[in-house]
Amino acid sequence: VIEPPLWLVILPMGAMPLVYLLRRWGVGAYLAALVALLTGLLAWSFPPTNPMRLMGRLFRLDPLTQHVMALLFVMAAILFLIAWRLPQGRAFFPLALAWLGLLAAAGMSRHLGISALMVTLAAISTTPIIQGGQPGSTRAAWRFLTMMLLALPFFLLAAWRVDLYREDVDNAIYLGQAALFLALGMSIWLAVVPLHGWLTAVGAGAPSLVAALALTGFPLLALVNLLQVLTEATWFTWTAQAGRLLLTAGLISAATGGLLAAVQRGFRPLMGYAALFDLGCLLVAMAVGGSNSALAFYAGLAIRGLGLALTGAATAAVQGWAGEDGFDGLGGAARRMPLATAALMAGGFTLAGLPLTASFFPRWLLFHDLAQANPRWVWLLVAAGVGVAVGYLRGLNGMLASPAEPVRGQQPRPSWLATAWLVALGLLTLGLGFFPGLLLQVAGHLLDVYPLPPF
Amino acid sequence: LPSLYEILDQLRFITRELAVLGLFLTGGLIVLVRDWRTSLLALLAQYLLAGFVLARLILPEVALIKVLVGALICPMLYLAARQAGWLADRGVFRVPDALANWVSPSRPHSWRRHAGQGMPMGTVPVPPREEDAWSDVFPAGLAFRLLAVTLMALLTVALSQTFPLPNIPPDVGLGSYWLILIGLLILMLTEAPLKAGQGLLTVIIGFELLYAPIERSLAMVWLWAVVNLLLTLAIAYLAVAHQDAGSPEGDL
Repeated sequence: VIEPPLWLVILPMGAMPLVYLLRRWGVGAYLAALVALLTGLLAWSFPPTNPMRLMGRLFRLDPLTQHVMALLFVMAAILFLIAWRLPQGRAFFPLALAWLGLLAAAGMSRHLGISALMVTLAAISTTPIIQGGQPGSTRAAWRFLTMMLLALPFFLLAAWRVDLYREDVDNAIYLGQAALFLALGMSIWLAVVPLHGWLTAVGAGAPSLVAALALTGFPLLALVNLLQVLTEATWFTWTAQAGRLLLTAGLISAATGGLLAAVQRGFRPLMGYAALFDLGCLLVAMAVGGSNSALAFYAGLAIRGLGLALTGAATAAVQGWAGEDGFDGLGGAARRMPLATAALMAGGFTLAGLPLTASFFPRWLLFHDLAQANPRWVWLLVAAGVGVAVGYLRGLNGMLASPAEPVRGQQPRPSWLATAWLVALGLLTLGLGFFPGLLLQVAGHLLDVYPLPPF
Repeated sequence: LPSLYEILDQLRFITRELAVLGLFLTGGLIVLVRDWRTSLLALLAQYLLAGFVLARLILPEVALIKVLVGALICPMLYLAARQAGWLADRGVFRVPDALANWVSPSRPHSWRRHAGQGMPMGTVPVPPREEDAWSDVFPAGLAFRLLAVTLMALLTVALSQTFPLPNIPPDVGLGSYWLILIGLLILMLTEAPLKAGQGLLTVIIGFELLYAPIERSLAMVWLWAVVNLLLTLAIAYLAVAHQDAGSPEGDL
């Protein structure tokens, strides 16, 4: 009998060969989207499940993994539909399905080594779609692959130390080393400055929809694995130190992301730095420790997916029309593609945390708790958010400028389907901005079933 | 056919210390040599030597799996290099242009000899700017790399004495440190996927020397092998994409 949670791995992996064969036709994209959507709904609707043993190791689908995987599967389904009209490389559909299955396995594993190996396999399967068939520079895919591979030994060594402790409690003296290895590995996975190179490189170099998926999926899975250790692992006793470390790392990442986002000259690199800023905010929300910031953290997971999906899809649409994403070459884009331009700004402002967008109220909650710890940190995050917004406003300025070459006006606009999805996602972020109650309700439910560790 | 244990017995003259010494040689060669075929041979030798070392520490059958994985990895990289139309070098190490012309003025440039290899029929080879091709593999010169390798050797010795690796003999710890450091050095020196990929694989071999004796789960051994093979496929894919700037569609 197959344990129900395993369907989250089996369904996408099983559909992969068929999707690969059909990848050149629309039916491949629709099939991939259908499988991802069904698996996402399945993940969302699972009742609490029992732990399983596979290869002698423990696997368990906890509510956090369940909701994060549901989010990723549904996000992937939407991006698959958009990618059919805004090509991202044909290997995107099958390899992204494999990637999702491996991430589900990594999220369910309760052994650090197995989780790390699964995430590494997921990273390897993502490499070709980050390259996306683009000849020439391989910097984004290579940096991503290298960093993910270099993180693996740290997790394996941490898992070894923990296994030694489980076999013999006298080995507790090595648990400090396990925590150190875990911190080093997590620093790479969470793209903590100065180890953020893979994240910004993927943002700048990968096809935009692929970047949106990768920049959402890998950090979210890293956060899930980190929370599993912090809340479930009996061996980990450095919660207070971990909280301080996460707070510092989050503030530095958010400040760096915001500062550098303001000076970017293209929408793709801007998305990378905006994603870095947003990830820093998530780390801060996790580490601050208040009830408001915990709500902001769980709401922030979903908003990150929404913001990056919207930004990635709109960037792909604009790039498909103009042939580039640099601000200087996008003159006339706002006039020719007003909906895509509006969607791009809505996505960028969502990542920045501006008012009227989905992220504003959760950020406000975060600032409320953060101000009690240190008001200056609030101003730091606000300034960094303004930096991201400035980056997108500079891009808007470039899109509002007159076109440099009249011939550009003859180029095709994106299909109605892609535009419809952009409008729908844009309206969703605005709707959640006006009515944040629905999102906070889900975040509150998640907080009840999977509380954050008390730092 | 002789059994694995009989083969190992016949090869007992290759002591662990000798194998570790060989690892120093192969690691150094991968950094110093620009010629991709010599470099791949050094990588293959590295897998064999690491297998010899591991066969004396863990079950020889498990060590054999690791050697077989290495034996699969190198041909995959070789085919990728051919597919990418990698240029052959004027010898193992780079020789300055003036010296090469003085030694052999009539000798044609390497791209002329090897242009078109691995390309589809009917493709007209475009002569690359030679300086670009060289600098793409290793922007740093031979003297710099030699100095860097020497520093890494000193660092290896210092690290293995200051922080000896647990659960493995000191000489194996030395080899492990060396491969990890030399692999990281290659990653720092180049971003060309075929060469840097060898650096990444070297780091992984170094880590395996440390990790294989402590991880006894067969499931982990197989997962590790799968990671290695898929990683090589990814490196091969990127190597082709990196060199294939003229191709309109390099997608899978």
